[in-house]
Amino acid sequence: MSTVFARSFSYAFFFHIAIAVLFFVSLADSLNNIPSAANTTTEIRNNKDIVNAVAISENELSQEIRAQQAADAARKAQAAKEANQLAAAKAQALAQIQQAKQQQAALAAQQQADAKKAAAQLAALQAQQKQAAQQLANTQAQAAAAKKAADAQQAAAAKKAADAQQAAAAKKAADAKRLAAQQQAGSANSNLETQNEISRYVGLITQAIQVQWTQLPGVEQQKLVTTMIIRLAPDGTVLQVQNVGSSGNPALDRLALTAVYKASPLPVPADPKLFANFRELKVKFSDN
Amino acid sequence: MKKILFSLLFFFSIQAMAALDIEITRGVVRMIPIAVASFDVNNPNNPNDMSRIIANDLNHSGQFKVMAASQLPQQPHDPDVVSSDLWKSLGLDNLVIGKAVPTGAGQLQVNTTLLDLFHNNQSTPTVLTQQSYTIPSNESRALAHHISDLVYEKLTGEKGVFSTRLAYIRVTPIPNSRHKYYSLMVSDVDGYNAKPLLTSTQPIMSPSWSPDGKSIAYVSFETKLAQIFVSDVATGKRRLISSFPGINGAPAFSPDGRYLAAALSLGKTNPNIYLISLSGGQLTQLTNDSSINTEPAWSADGRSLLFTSDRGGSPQIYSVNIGTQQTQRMTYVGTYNASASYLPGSNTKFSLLTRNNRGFNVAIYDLQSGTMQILTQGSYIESPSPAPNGRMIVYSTQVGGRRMLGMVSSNGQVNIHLPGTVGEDQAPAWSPGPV
Repeated sequence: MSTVFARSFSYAFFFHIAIAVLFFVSLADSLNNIPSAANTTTEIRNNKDIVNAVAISENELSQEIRAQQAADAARKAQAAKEANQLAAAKAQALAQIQQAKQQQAALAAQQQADAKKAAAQLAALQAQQKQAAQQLANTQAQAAAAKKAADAQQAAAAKKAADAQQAAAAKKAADAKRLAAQQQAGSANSNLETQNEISRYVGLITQAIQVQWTQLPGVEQQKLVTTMIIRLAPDGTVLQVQNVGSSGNPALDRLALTAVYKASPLPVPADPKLFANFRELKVKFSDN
Repeated sequence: MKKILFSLLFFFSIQAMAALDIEITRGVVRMIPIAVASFDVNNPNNPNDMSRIIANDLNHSGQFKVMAASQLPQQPHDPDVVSSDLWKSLGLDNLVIGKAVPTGAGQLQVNTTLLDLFHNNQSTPTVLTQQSYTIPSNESRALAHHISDLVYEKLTGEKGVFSTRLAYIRVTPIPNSRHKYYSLMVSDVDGYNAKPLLTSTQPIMSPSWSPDGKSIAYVSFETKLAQIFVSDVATGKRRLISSFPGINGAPAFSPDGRYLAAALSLGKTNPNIYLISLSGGQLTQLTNDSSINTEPAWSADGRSLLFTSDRGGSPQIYSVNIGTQQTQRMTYVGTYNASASYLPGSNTKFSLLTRNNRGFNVAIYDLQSGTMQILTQGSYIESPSPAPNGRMIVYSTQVGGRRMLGMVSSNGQVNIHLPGTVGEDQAPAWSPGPV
């Protein structure tokens, strides 16, 4: 780039030089004419004697004409010389312009070539970029698929969490409602106290059933699991027992059932709001 | 309005889901409290009342705490008149009622009902099972045992063994003589209905049941020499199996009934364990040393035998593999262990006789834990033999200088004596059963 600039600079420099030369030549020509004019004035001042002057004047005139003619010739020669010089300068300038043009053309060609090369390079680059883009697209597609799967998973997890949250919220709402009801009823129980009371009664009920659960001496009961839903009256009386998971041994299921009815009435909170939690219990008997 | 309904619905469904969880992880080991009311509509104090037989059976099993007949406030025969509250207040869980009414021609019409007092919260009990029978009057005892089995299975989930039998040797003095009668007896599990299958003035020993319960092998000295016979229980017909020189002792039927394992000395001074083919009489020797090897007892799969040997200096239980004839010592606890039998249904526990500081007692040895659970507290106990459900063990013991049969539950909870009527009872063997 800098070479192009340097070249342009040198052409401009030569132009200026050429112009300077032309200017200098015409100035020199003007300077040559000034002494001849002075000579003319001197000759007029010398014509005080008119006759003489006229005779002389004719001579002088002829001389003057000759001088004028010589001067003209000289001036013409000078002009021709100057024209020649100008032409030469012009030619030189033209040549220089031509050269400059050629150089410019070369430069342009060079530039064109460079541009072509650059274009080729650009094309190659673009091809590369395209390929890269393709790869990127592929990668992105894969990533998208992965992301989709991940999103689905995430969505499921989110849904689960949301469900849990919803359930929790619902429970919380129910708890809040219950609590509100309690508060409305004048109960001073806080939620924590309520939970503590519930836990306490769960413990009492567990104990009450446990002491009534007969395990037959020597009878293997490994992995026995009997699950029943029991419904209670407000005084703790067992109203209904529903076996929802048999141990597979009817006799052992029956012993569990017996334990529940023998433990009736179960210890339950007197506060009707608190009792609402104990209306239905899920009792699991497991031998471990 | 719809929104409110939906909210209500949602609220109630949440309520339904919120059933509190109660986890019961252990109960109390105890027997089921039960009562058996009289079956006799005319005489509730009839000592042969079927209810007495059932009460006895259940009581002996170790799984039931039976209220004495004299403590019952009522003798209901019909489930419709039973009020749960009265019986619950006595601490009972279940009640057996029944009615035995003689019809013409020596027949007996029997109805029985097993009631559950805690199957609901009503004052009406729940019927767990109800049965009707018409039987010859003289079979009331067998029917009573059958009803015991029904009740036992319904309430424990396991087969009862009350209709099985015992074989044992009864020794009775001959009046005005120094000699004694030796009888091979077969009785019900409660000792009743005892009948001799064979009587001899020479000792009879070691009765052993065939797996089908139809035959009994035993040792008889009727020729003054030990011989092994097999008798048919129904007909009394018998067959001589082993009469080798010296000791012919301790026969035991294989589980497939094709062999007897026995202790034979074959003219030497000490017995070894042999198999005797019941079809051809061929012998297979399983032990071969100069110590005493006796009392073979089969594993359930018929591939090995427990036996008693003093090869280690004191009597201990060993096992011999029939295929490889490899022997292995099984007991390392105590200075005297003998008379082993695998508990039915188990290949890791066996009953045995062990000596502790009191004397000789019935125990259960657990091969997995290497522990010995001693079940009795006697001193002269012999010949333990487990019931086919493994829940009881019959043995012979000495009470007041007289030998009689005893039974202990495998959990050690119940231990009873069967005093018999006359003589001394020994060497009991529990018959196979419906297990």
